[in-house]
Amino acid sequence: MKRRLMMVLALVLIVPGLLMTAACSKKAVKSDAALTQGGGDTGRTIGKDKKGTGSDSGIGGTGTGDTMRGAAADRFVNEDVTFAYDSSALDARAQEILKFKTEFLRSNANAAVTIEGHCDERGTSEYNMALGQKRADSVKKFLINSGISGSRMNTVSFGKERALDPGHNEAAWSKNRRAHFVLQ
Amino acid sequence: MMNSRVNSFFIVFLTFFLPMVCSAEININISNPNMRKIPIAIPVFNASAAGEDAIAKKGADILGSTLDFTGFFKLLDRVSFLEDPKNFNPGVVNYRNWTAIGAEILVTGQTQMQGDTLQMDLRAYDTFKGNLLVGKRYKGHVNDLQKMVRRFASEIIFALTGNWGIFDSQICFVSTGTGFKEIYMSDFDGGNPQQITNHRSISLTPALSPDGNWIAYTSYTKSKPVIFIRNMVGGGGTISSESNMNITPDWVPGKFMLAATLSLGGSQEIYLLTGAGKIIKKITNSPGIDVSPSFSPDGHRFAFVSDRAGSPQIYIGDTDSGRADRITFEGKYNTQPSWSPKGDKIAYSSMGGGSVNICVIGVGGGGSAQLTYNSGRNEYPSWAPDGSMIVYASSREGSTRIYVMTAYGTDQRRLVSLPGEQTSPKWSARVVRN
Repeated sequence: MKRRLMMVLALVLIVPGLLMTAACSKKAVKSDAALTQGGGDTGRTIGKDKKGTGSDSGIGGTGTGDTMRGAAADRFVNEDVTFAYDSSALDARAQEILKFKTEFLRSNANAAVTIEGHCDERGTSEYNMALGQKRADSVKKFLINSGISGSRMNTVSFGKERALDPGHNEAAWSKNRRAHFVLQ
Repeated sequence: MMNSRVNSFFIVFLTFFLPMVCSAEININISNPNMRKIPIAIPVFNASAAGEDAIAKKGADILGSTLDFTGFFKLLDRVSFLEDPKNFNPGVVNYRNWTAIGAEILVTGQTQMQGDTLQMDLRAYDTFKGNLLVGKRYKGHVNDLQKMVRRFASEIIFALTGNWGIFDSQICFVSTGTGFKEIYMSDFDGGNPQQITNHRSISLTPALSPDGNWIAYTSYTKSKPVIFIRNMVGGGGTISSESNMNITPDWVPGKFMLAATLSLGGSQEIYLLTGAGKIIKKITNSPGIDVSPSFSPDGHRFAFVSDRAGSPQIYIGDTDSGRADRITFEGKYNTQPSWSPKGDKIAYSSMGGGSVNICVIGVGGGGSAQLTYNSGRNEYPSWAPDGSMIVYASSREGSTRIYVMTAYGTDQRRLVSLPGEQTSPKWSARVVRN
């Protein structure tokens, strides 16, 4: 009897805890989106400007309907593809994640995304910028090969400028070596 | 920012002094790793009126610290001087009073103020040869004292080495003091730091053009990394956005052109761009990453980073032939090359064993040396315009700060300390504006 009570208590405490964790990672996505927004600037633009400048709004997008909300959309933006050190190769786990992303993009034909490439803090800044781009390109190529139109996907590299986990250990670094999806 | 009062001062040559003669005894050889420091005496300048004493001392002190920065000189303590500068007769020097205390160079100054206008007669002597090295008169607003004194310091360096030195150069760098990575600029010695961008985004890797009129840098203010090419004199400029990723700009010496890394066709390569940011041609070609160009002084070759052999290494590319040759074979992660303005060496950072260190290698691939040790991460090496010093970013204090050292790794010291962290320094060419 007491044991059952303990189990119920444990469930009552753990489940809300998990829900709050999900909410926290939602916040992380929101802050990433805010950081990709341009602030004021003083230059004149020549050439093509990226679609969606300053309109990153994280989850939900802008006017793309009910299918953009809910658990599938949450998973789409929260589940990052991760990479081995100094690599842009997609391992089995990465490909599994990308299969889900492909399904989502097929089901939501109006969805457009930005694929962000990121690196861990260890390397030097400029090389990491290029490596982040290579990672984003690698993911985009996989999705194109899975039948998603390239015109729906934009890529941007943040190098090591936007760490997800500020820690200085492999646990943090492996989280930071990622491709992250943002719905437009 | 540029001082509009600069136009108010001019140089008048002193015609009644002996012509400049280079001394054979005093030899500053900036190629010599074991160079001896030249003992120099700079007494307080002679003031024409009592109210000028502070200016007279300040001028002499600024000259001392400016010359001291080069590491070429040993400043003698005024306590050891045998003469009182107030007794100086302009043009008459008792050399024995100076050789007796070991001074090989003596600098004397005479100040004269009229309202806000300061006139200074400055003379540098070779005490052992017993003659004048260089003498100049400066006249301008008293607020330009530092500028005038630094001009004379350049004259001394020119008289001794045939090179104009570094005092008219600037350093641009990135600082996070505002909470965002913004571009800053300072004097050659880290003085007078100024914030020059306010994008409130991520701004990176600034590079000043050789004529000092333009600055190029990458910024995310358009939600992706684009290159801003901004005019330093008149303001305005263009944005280069030829691809999704536009990074690591470096100016081509002698031309209104720059190289940058772009991401096109699924590959990160280095391209030559016009000064307005338009693609001229691709200058690297490999399946992987080619990034971080740094031009040779003649502009025909450039050092860069490539991972075509499996790990990031330094290569030398040729803009005309398209040829690329690897020059680093030690270490698994070599990046951030900087080609010396003297043309003979390339500085770069090498990562391994949990730290990053500045190394130098000959352009032919030989003569490699490690310049920093046991001091955390040392990155972004950039050469002074005369090749005598290297500025870099070091995390040895915890926060990342701009440091400087001689070309041989000696005299490592902090240059700038501002709120936040400072990285990505780049040393400009010597730019003289009147």
